[in-house]
Amino acid sequence: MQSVPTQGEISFPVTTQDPDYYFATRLISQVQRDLQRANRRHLMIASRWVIAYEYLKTLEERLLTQEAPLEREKIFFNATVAVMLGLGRLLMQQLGADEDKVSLDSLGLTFDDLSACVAELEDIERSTHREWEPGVANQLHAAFGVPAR
Amino acid sequence: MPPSESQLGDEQRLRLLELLYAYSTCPEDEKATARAALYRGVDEFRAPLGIGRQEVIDYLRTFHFKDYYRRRKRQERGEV
Repeated sequence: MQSVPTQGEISFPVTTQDPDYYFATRLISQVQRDLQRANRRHLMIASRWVIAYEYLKTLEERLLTQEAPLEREKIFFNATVAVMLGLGRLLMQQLGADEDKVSLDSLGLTFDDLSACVAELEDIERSTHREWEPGVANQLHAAFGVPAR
Repeated sequence: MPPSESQLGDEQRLRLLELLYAYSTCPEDEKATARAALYRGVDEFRAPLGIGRQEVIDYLRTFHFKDYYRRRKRQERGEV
């Protein structure tokens, strides 16, 4: 059984004054708090998680389009992805186990859509930390017609 | 003249990057559909090569996605 990290356990390695990060981390702490409550309000938690995810996507776009993003922004983004991924997995687990079978219809989402958002964060986190064996990377470079690097 | 292996690889890479871009930028209520389309495309590509789905997605994200993403955003803003 997964447990929710407490407020003290989730800490970001750098601080930032950026308002998008500020609101994302505020929402994340609300999602954390609500997931720990005995009387969980899953629709509200899902709603907050999705809004935090939208902030995260805005930040991702900024990082991807900047020529040379600041190192601390990259670190903060990666930490936020990791926390959001953990909370997203936990939320999915609780939504799946909920006896009342909370419907996400009123958010305009399906369970599969939310699951795909969580899966995207998994992809981002995995590819960020992946260490490439030269053989695999070269096989893919060759398959895609890209000169080996 | 038939396309070379390099041209075919390039076309496949751009097709998969387009699917990855669609998955990354679509609204939340289209995420499941976009993910399914990406997985189908990646699976078609990787099956004959014996490479895992995650490897292909990670490869595209690591080596090509940032450039593709920036180019697409510039196109959308009418800068290209």
